Amino acid sequence: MQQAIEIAPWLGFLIAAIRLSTPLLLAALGELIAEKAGVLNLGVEGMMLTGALFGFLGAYYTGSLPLAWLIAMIAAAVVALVFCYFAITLRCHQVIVALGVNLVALGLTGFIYRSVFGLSASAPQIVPAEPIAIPLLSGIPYLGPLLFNHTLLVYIAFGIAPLIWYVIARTPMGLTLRAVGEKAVAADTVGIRVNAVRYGATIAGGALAGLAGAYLSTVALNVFLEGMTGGAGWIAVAIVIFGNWNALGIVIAALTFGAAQALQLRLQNAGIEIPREFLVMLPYVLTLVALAGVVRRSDPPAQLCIPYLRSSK
Amino acid sequence: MGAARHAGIDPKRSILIAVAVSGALAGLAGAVEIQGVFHRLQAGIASDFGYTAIPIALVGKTLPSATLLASLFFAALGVGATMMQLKAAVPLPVVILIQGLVILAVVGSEAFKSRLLSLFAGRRPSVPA
Repeated sequence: MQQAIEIAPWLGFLIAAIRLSTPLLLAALGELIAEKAGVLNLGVEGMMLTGALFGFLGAYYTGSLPLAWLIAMIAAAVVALVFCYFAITLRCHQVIVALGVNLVALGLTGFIYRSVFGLSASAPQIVPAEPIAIPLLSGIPYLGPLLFNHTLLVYIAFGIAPLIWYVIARTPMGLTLRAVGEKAVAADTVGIRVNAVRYGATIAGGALAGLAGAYLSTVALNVFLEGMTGGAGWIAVAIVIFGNWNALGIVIAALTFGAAQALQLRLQNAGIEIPREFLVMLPYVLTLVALAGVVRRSDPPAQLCIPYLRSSK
Repeated sequence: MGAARHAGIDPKRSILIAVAVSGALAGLAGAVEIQGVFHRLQAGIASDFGYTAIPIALVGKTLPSATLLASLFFAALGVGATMMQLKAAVPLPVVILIQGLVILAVVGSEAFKSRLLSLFAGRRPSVPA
């Protein structure tokens, strides 16, 4: 017992790292699916924010968190659909469309929230998700509280990561996805509908970003705040790069970023003399290092951010 | 890039110089904000400027003259937003929403235009890449 109390700080740190990395992992996996199909979806931030608002609204009005998460995913998927129309159908520049979509989402979520709740002094709250202890496994010393006593979305996030890896790397569906992102013309000649695949991938990825946003407003917190994602969507994009476009690499990258955030909070509390800006900077420095190919070669999809046009003459 | 190399231009060197000049100009923009507008240094002062600059350059179709007009347009939008808040009590989210819609409308304008034209011409839409 005494030992458990002694050990608690580092265990608490690891648990916090897992919790903080969960929304980043969900959003990054969504971004990965879109990027594998050749769509650079920088609208993750806006889609997360949409998910955060609609997840909160869903929980507030239905009282059911799973239903709220479903609503969040659908709402974010609608935002992704708008992004797809501009970026894929109209072939506008994906980066610019994303910046526009992010502004629209930031404005629209704030507007909807104020229209529904007004500007009251006390923010409306919901009952946040409770951790679910897995029977037997959660009783294991150290490992139990670390891995088997989390909220449902944590299990879902870390559960779908290997699934997404398997689908992308080992199934015909994943092959189709990669073909579209690596060489769209070749995919088209074998009868793959390039733009349909891109729509599907981006919308599915957007739904995951929505789920990540809902995690922020219904699990990590129990309120919605305007602009509450605070750049998490951009970190998710960095995680995809740091994870070298591999779902399993992304799990490690998300944990690294989550750990950096947890460390930053703890060092601040402990009053250690490292400027907190350095710790805030750390994940981005790691991403730059990864991009520069210091550790290994960076391997993005070949036709990332290139719209597809079949020359129909 | 192959043609440039053939003409004796070093692409990597050109890209490095271009990006360095671009960064220097961005730094100048930041300095002007501090020295001319805020008169004091604070963290995150230019947070939105960088992200707004990207669509401005694209709206200006990467022509310096048109970029000048585009930045004037976005500056007017920003000033108008502040005025709308002060005079008409339009909430900030609505202002942000309008700015986002403007970016989408402008970025989609080429595609919309050619779709509309081809509609009148009775052909299938073909958007210039």
